Amino acid sequence: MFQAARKEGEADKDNPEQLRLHRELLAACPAFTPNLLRLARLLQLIDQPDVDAPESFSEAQRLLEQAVQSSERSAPSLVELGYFLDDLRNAPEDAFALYQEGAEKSLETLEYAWAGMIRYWTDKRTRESLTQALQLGEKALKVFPESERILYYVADARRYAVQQGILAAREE
Amino acid sequence: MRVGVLLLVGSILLGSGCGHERSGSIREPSAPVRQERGGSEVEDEGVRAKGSTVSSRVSVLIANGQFAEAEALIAEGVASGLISQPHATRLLERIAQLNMKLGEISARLQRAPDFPSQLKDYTLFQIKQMLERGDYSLATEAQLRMAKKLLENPDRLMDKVR
Repeated sequence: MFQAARKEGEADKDNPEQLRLHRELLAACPAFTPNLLRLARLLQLIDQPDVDAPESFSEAQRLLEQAVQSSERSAPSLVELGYFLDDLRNAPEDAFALYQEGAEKSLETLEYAWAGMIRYWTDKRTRESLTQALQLGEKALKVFPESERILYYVADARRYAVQQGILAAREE
Repeated sequence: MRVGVLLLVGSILLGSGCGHERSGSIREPSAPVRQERGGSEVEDEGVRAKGSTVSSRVSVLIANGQFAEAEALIAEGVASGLISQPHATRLLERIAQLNMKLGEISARLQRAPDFPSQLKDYTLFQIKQMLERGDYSLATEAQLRMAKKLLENPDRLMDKVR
């Protein structure tokens, strides 16, 4: 149903049919975060002749708060609520705290994702894959200089790279 | 190579993100420009400060409002392989956003509380300039800030659910 609602919006981004589908889905699955975020966003964009603007902004805010809660404060929901408060509620301080929390959550995910990619390339142990592992490792260590997780996999990549003569031993 | 790595870092950070990071990429190169505004060395200054990569030159042109020149340089960069297609698309979207007038945002957003409707015919770039110059003849600083936020908003709100 989420996809169906998205489709209604593809043809015409102001199509009010999207709202009906997203609302129906909300009734069936009130904790489905992507739907909450999407509906909150559409409420800020689509003009409903029978609903006042302040009312639809309040509804959007409720949905965003619900998204934060039901996603256990996921990064996208925190950032969405942050921009809403910043842009429409003139609450930049509250928004900043949410951006910060969202950034921390995203960085944590990024650290794990990069570590997984470095491990994948290291395990393949081809010239090309090890070079890729080393390049990503270099970038990852700039963002996470103290990440034990990244350092651990980069150390493996370097060892294999030295074995294969891609990296000189002294650089290890 | 160096350009490739920089672009990759940029695009990964962008990928995780939000308008906040993106507007940063414009503000940053515009910093040296501000000191030099009005001078003929504007572009060179930016280039020296950021290392002469094509994308930093594009950012400086965009920050200066030299959109036609920026578009030409983007096309050149894509043709010579120095700018990736996705990065070029983002830069062109940024230019379109800077050219957007406040009156062109969604009707619903125009009903946001305290919407500064006297700025309807002004583009994001013009509004940013007023803020930069401290020109509050048309609107207060708070109104200009709000207009800027609402105009920067569609980029996040349009059709990208992450």
